[in-house]
Amino acid sequence: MTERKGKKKRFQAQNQKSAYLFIMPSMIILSIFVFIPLIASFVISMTDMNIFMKDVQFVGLKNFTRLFTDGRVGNATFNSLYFTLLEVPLQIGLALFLTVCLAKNNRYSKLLRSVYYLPFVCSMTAIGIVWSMLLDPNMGLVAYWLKQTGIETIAFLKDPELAMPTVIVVTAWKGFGYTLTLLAAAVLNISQSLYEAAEMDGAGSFHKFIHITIPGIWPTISFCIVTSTISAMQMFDQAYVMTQGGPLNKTETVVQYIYDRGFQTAPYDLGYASAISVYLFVIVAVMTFVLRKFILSRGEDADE
Amino acid sequence: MNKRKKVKLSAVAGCIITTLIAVTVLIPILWLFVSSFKTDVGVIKFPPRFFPEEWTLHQYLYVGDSIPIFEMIRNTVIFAGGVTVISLLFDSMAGYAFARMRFIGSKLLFSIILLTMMVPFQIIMTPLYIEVYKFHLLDTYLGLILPRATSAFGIYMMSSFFTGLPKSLEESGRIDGMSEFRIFRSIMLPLCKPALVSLGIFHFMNNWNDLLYPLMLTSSQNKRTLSAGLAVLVGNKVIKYGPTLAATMISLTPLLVLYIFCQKYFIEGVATAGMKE
Amino acid sequence: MKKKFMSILLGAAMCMSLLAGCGNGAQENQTAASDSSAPAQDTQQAASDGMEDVADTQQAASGEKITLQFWNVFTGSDGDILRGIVDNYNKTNTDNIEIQMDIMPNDQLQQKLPASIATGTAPDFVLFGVENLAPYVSNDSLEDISDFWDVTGVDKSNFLENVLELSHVDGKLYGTPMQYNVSYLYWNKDLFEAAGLDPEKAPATLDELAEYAEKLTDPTKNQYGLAMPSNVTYMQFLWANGGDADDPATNTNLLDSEENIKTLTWLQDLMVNKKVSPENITGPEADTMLQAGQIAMYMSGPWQINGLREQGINFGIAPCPAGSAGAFSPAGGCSYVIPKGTEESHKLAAYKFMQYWLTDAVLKEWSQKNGFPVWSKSLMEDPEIQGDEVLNSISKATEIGRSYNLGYSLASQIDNDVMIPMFEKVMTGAATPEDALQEASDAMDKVLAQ
Repeated sequence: MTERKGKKKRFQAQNQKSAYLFIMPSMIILSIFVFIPLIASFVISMTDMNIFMKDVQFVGLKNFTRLFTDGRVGNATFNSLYFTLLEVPLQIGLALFLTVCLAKNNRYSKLLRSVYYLPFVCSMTAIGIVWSMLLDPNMGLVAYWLKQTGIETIAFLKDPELAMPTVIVVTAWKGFGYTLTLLAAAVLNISQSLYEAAEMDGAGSFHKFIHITIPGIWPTISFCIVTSTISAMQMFDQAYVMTQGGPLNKTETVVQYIYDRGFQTAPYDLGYASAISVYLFVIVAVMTFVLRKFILSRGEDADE
Repeated sequence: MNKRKKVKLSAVAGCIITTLIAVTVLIPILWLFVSSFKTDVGVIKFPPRFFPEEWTLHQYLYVGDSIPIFEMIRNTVIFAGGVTVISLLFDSMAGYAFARMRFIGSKLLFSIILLTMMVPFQIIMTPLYIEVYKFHLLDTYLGLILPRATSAFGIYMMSSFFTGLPKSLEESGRIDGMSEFRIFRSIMLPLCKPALVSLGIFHFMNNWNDLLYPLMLTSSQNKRTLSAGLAVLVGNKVIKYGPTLAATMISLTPLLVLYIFCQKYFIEGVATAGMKE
Repeated sequence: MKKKFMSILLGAAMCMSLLAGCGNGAQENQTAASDSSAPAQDTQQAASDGMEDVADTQQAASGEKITLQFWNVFTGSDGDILRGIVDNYNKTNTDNIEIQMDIMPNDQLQQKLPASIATGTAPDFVLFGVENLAPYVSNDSLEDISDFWDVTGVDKSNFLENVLELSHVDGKLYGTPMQYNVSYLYWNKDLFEAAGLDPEKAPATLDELAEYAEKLTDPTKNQYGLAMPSNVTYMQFLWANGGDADDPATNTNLLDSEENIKTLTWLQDLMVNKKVSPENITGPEADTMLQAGQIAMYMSGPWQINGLREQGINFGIAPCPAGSAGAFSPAGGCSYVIPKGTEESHKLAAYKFMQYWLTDAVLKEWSQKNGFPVWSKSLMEDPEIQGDEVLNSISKATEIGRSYNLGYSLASQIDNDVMIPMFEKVMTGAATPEDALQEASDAMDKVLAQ
C-alpha cells in the first residue's frame, strides 16, 4: 500500500516537472508579447500619455472617472453587448441546427460542410467590401433585386435601426461554417453504440439529440460559446469596414471607440484609450468567468 | 408507417434548407469572383448586373503592375507558414499539459491564458512595437513570427480536444514506460490530426489575412505581406472597386486552394478519430 | 508559480522603465535612440542579405550613396503617378540619392509613425495631409524646417502665400507644400440637360443649388440631385451665410448663432424633406454614384477628376455656391515633412528632393495628370497650363479657399466630436437644427476647455 503510494507520488512529481516543460514555450512567449504589453497598457491607463509618448504624467484614476461620464462609452458598451447577445446565439444555433442535418459522412454532407466553411476563409475586409457593395441601397444588387420584385428598398447598413442587425447577420454568415466544422467533428466522434442502445430503448431522434448528442459535444459547444463571446465583445473589423461605426454611432463598439480615441482623433489620447480597454477587459473577464462557471457545471452534469 | 413518413419529410425539409443556405453562402463569393473580371465601368454600372457584360483581365493586370505580388506572397507564406507550424507545436504541447496533466497552479495559469484572449490587439500594439524594437527585431521575419508563435485560442482549443480523448490511451503508454514527451508525440499527437489541421488552417488564415499587425512590425516594402500590400490599392480618398475586387480574389485564392487540399485530411482525420473509439 | 509572478513583475518593471525612457528628456533620448537604431538597421540588413543578395552588395560598394526612407499615404491611382516621379528622380538625380518609397493607408500610417518617431525608427521624410501637422508639432515630433528656403535657394515668393501658410504652425515652417486643394462643385452636364437646365451653368447660390438639386432628383431612376455624404463637415455652408464653428486664435466657440440655425434649417429641409441625396452614404459611395451617372451634383476635391474622365462622364467644375455672406470652400493639402530625429545629412538630402518637387516641371506634371490646382506663380504663366480647360476652371474655384482650424491642435477633436455628429443629426433628421446646434455647442465648450 505505502509502496504504491510512494510510487504514485514520485510519478506525480515527475509528471509535474514535464507538465511545466510542456507549457514553458507558450508561457514564455505569452509573457513577453502579451502580458507585458498588457501590463504596460494598465500602467498607461493611469497616465496622460498620447501616442507620441512624450512628457508623460501620472494622473491616477482620472481617465477612469472620465470614462463613466462619457456617453459614447455607454453607447459603445450597449452596442457591443447587443452585438454579442445576438450574434453568438445566432451563429452557434445555426451551426448546431446544421450539424444535426449534416453530421454524416456522405458526400452531400461533406460537400455542404466545405461550402459553409468558405466565407470563414475570406478576410473580414473582403467580406465587408463584398457585402457593403451588394447591400448598398442605391447601387447594390440585393437592393436592385428587391426593387424588381416590388419590395420597398431596405437601407440595411444605412438605416440606423437595421445597421447593427445587418452587421450581426453578416458576421454569423462568415463564422457559422467554422463552428459547424468543430461541432460536426465532435458529433462524428460520439460512439455509434450509444445511439444504437438508445434506439433499442425506442428513443426518438429528438430524444437522442438532447440526451446523447448534446452531452457528447458539450465541451466543444462550450468552447465555441466562450471563444465567440470573447471575440464578439472585441468586434472591430466588421464595423470598421462596413459602417465605420455609423449611422449615428449605432454600430460603434467599444474597441472601435478605443481605436478612435487612441489613434484617430488627435490628441491621440492613449491613456484614455487604455483606460477604456481596461474597462472592456474587466467586462469580458467577468462574462467569461460567469459563462465558464455555468458551462462547466453543466459539463460535469453531462459527464455523469 | 406514420413515423417513417415524418422522418422522410424532415429529411427533405433539411435538405432544402441546407441547400438554400449553401446558395446564400455561394452567391456573394461567386459575385466576387465574376466581378473581378468586370471593366471599371462594369463594376459600378447601374442597374447592376451579376455577370460581366465584357470579361477582362484588366483589373488583375493593374494589380500586378502596382505591387510586387510574388515577393509579397513569399513573405506571407514565410510569415503565416512559420507562425502556423511553430504555434501548432507549442499550442498542442501546452493544451495537452492543461488537459491531461495535473500540476500545481494549472487552473490559475489556464485562466491567465484565457485572459490574454480578452485583450484587443489595438491596445497592446504600441507597447508591442516598442518591445520588438528593443529586441532589434523590427522588420525581420523572426520579429513577425515570434509574438504570434503561440496563442491562447490555440491552447484552449487543443486542451478541449485532448479533454475529449479517452484516458486509457496515455495510461497504456505509461505502463509501457514511455516518457511523457514520447506519449505526447507518438500516441496523442497522431490522434489529434483533425484538430491540428483545423487549428492550422485557422492560424494560417488569420495571419494570412491580417493587416494591422504585419504592417506595424515591418517598415519596408520588401517585408510587406500580401494583405498589407493589397490595402494600398484601395485608395485613400477614392476607392477603385475593380482592382479592389481583383486584389481580394488574389489574396483569397491560395487560401481556397489550401482549404480544398486540406479538406480531405480534415474529413479523413475526423473519420479515423471517430473509429478509434 | 512564484517564478511566474517574478517574471510578470520583472516584465512590468521593464515596461515602466521603457515608458519612462520614452517620456523623460525627449531630446536626449531621441538622439540616443537614433544613434542606436543605425547599427540595428545594419544588422537587420545583414540578416536579410541572404535574401536580397546583389542589390545590397552594390549599395554597400558605393559608400556615399544616401538612401532615404519615404512614407506616404498615396494609395490608389495618384500613388502610381507619385511613384513615377520618384522613380524618375532616383534615376536622374546627381547627388547619389535613392528614395525608397513605402505607401500605406492613412489610418495605419497615423498609428505607426508616432511609435516609430519615439523609437528612432522613423523614415527620413513623410508625406501626409496638412491637417496632421498640428498634433505632431505640439508633441515636438517634426523638424522645424524654416531654413529650407535659405539652404536650397528656392524662391519662396514664387508660391501662393495661402498655400505656404498651410504648412506653418505658429509661424514656423514644418513642411513643404506638395499639393493644394479646396472643395469644388462637380456637376453632370448630361443630367442637367435631361432635366431641362442649362448644362453649362452651375448653380451660383445656395438657393439655386437647392432648386436645381430638387429638379434633378428622380427616385424612379435612382437619380439624386446632390450627393451629401455623412462623416463630412460642411463648413462651406456655414461660412456662406456668415456663420462659423470656432476661432482657433482665441479658443472661442462661435457655433451658437442665428446664421448657423438658418443654414442648418436649410440643410435639413434639403436632406429630409426634399431628399435630394441618398441617405447616410459615405464619400466613396458618393464617388461611385457620381461616376455611374446617378448623381447630378457633388462637392468634392480634385481627386474626382481622373475617375470621372475614365468613366466618360460629361462633367463641369464650379466654385462652391455663395450664400448671403459670400462663397467659401474649405482648403486642404499635403506636405512633405521631416520627422524629429532624422540625421542632418538625410535631412539635407530630403531637402534636395523637396526642391526637385517644387520645380515647375514636376509641379506641372502633377497638376496636369491629377487635376490639382497650380500654386506656383511662374507655372501659371505657362501657356500649356493656361490653355488647360479643367485647370482653368479649377483655379477659379480655388480662389475662394479658406482654411479651417489648420494648425490647431484641437482640430480633429472638433471635427469628430462636434461638427460631424451635428451635421449627421441634422441631415438624417435625428434632431431639430436648434437641438443639434445646442448639443454641438455644449460639446464644443467641452473640447475647447481642454
